[in-house]
Amino acid sequence: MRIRLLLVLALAAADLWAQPPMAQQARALEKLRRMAPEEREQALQDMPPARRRMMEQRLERWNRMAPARKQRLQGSLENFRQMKPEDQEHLRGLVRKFNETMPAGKRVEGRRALTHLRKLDPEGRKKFLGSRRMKERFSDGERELLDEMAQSMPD
Amino acid sequence: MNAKNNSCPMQNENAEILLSYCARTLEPEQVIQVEKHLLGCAECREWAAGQQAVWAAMDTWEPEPISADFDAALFARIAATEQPSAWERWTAPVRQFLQGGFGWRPMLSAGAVALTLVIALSIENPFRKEPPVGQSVKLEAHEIEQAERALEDLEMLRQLEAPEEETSL
Repeated sequence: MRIRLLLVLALAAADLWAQPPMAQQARALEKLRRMAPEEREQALQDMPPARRRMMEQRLERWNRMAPARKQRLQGSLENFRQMKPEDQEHLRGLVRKFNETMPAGKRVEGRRALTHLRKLDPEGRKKFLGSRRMKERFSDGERELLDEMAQSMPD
Repeated sequence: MNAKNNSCPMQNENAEILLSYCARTLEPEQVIQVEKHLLGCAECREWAAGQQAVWAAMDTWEPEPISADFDAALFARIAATEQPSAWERWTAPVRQFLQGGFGWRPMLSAGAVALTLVIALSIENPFRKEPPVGQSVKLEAHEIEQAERALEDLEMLRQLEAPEEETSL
């Protein structure tokens, strides 16, 4: 009985000991950010060149961001991580589709519409997406995509 | 009670009545009966004589006088025995645990507190200093993957923000 109790306690401790994925990612990102350029280059040398370039660009962009925006995005990332893995993957797919199918000239307006849609309830979303202005700017498929994205995004 | 019949205390292994007689705790009627029996029973007479000699010796025994501070010294020694040492107090739960008692409860509480502190400090250690930018930092392969995933998702979430929210970049 006592051994079983100690075993349960040990397992609980091990579970607590393991940092949550979000904290691990934040720590890894912070470590990468604080590395000396030559050390970072060495650490990333085994990555495929295209992937490495992409990562370096994103890191550079992250480093240049204003602290308030960083904080806001980190909050969004935490909310995103709390979603089910399949929901996370679904949203990633929708964003890929947005970037691939929405013409570059429309994307800025699409992001504005998305921000507005997220503030509305289902009835308000329906009205907004059915408005003449939205119909003039976006196709049926684009408006459907924006609606689905607004519903799938974390708070 | 007769020496020749079956009521002899020694023959019936009933020496209690003789003991009571010697201790002078019998009723007068019983005393008369026992004394009548003793007149005719040598075995009981001998046994009773032995007992009476013991009683007589005890009556004449005088205890040794005790010192004036005997009580105080005795109570001090009892108190010293009952008061466990600091070591005994600290190791009592361990000893109880090893003996299979319930001493694991305080140990468990202490262990849980220690574990919670260790975990809390390992996750959010206010005393831990991050190395300054550019200082030597080691990054494991899995940490590179984690950082890459975080950057990828941050980039996705950045793209979902309205352009007006882009205060930098």
